[in-house]
Amino acid sequence: MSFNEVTVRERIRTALTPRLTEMGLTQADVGDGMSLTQSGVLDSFALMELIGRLEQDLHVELDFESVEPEQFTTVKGLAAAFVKALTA
Amino acid sequence: MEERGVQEEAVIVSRPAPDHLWTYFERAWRTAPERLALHVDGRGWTYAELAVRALAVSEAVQRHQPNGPFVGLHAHRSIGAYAGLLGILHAGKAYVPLNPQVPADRLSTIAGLADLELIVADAAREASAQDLAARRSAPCGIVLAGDAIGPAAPHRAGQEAYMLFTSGSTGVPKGVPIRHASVVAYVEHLLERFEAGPEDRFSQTFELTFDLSVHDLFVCWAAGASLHVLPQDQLMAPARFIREHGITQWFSVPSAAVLLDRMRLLKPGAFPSLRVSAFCGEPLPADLAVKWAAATPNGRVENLYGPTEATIAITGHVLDPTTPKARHGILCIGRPFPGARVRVVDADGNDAPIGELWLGGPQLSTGYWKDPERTATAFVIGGPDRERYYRTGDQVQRDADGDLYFISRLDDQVKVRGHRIELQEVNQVLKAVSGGAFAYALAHPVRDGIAQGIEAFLPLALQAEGASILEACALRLPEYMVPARLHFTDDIPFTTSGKADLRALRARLEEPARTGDR
Repeated sequence: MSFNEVTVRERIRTALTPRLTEMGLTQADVGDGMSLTQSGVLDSFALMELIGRLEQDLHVELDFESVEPEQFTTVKGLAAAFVKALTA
Repeated sequence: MEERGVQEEAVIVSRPAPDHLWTYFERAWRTAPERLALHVDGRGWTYAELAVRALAVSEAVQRHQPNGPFVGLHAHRSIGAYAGLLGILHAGKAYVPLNPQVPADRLSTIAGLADLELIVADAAREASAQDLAARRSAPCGIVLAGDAIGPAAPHRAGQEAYMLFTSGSTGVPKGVPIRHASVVAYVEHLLERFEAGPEDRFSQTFELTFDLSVHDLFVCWAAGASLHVLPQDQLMAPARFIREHGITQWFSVPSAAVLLDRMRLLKPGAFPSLRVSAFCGEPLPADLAVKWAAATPNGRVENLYGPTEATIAITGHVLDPTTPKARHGILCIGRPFPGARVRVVDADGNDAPIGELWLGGPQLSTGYWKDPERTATAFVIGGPDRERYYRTGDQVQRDADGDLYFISRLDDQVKVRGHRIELQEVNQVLKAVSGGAFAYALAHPVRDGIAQGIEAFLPLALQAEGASILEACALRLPEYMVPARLHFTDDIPFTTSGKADLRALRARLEEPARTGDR
């Protein structure tokens, strides 16, 4: 199976769904460029857990050394980081 | 900017201990005005540049002539925050941080409790400061900090340096005023203990609402060193920041290290610039401390402990990475600082190897603001020495070497990622916003000895309202106090003494998914 930013974004959004439901939010409330931590959707630990689950699902490890911290707090940035890791 | 030589030595050597925190800053400013004092929001500020901005704030504060000892500080990781804080102190007032990340309702409560008549704000918070001032029942002025510059003038004397509000079990935050003399006692010891000097580059991770930030600011400036403020979005992954700024003195909650470790960034030799890495605010897992030590081959790891009531930190332990002193995987919190008094007291009030930790000495607060009742309960005269002690509510063990180990809390207070939370306060808010007959919050999950969040039990009838209850909580409580998850049940286990059995409730959370959760 091949991944691109669109399919990875879908994966991230699926993984986020339980948390959004809990907060009474819908997918439409979360923009691709919105910070998941600063908006209060996830705290930093929950974000790391989400990333950990995605890493397992996609059988890949992100290189946090090369990712800007502010990048992996958004759906868009995170998807880009995963695609980069998957195609490396 | 990088002046070196005899001049700078004077910053450290020219002591007696001052009686005012401004004096620490002024000594460094007079000695080396062109040195870097602060790096915030993408640019550096010399001691001279920061000083004139603080002086402008001081002049404006004095012009307003607010009554009472306290002035609000509504600013966040900006030049205005640091110039504002220094300016308030220079004017002889004590600052009360009003963190913009905290819901406006809570800030308004704090502004009322502290009788604020003046709020210093940075440029980005002018509008929310106006809102806060408008909500005060008494007239309340605004001073904007950061842009204006003011003339040199002697500082005004002051007793209190700051007042922080901690979570209160009655549902109302309680104010802990801290005097200059208490902070000076702390700073004097830390300058020596951490061998801080003008070449040091200090991290600033802590929010100003957290007293550990006072360590960052004043140990740094007392040493004539530079303070490097982490932008909000880098707090989660500070690896690059540490390297780019060549940080030599790191201070954070252990959670920061946990996250770096999960990102696989805590590699051996990763941070060669660090000389001292200190952790405080929650239990420090020994294996994490050892990993951090390996990542900082040129430095050492310090585990500090202390409640707000005893000023920043009052015991400390230097990690020995080959044989860490730990109990149940949690690093020991070491011995009291010089001048501090420590008792470990059993239920009968006698000194014992295991019991409640009592703290005494110059770092103690005078007591809770306008709350003689709680002050009398927490601050007591005791021991063979008949001295004043603060009862921490922390259960500790003391080993044969005199080293202390944190065991648990004796009450409903928990720490979530370093933030101190009274579960009763969360329960009060949950009951108020939900109208439910009961609410039982507890810290969960706990991983590596660190609580990650709050979860709560509410009556089954409220199940459909979970999202709106959480939303209402978010308007009244800071983010770290809002439950991450609500569980709805009418089946609450009770202990023989008739209290909700939190241990049994916790056990339920460990079970796999149960119906009624959301």
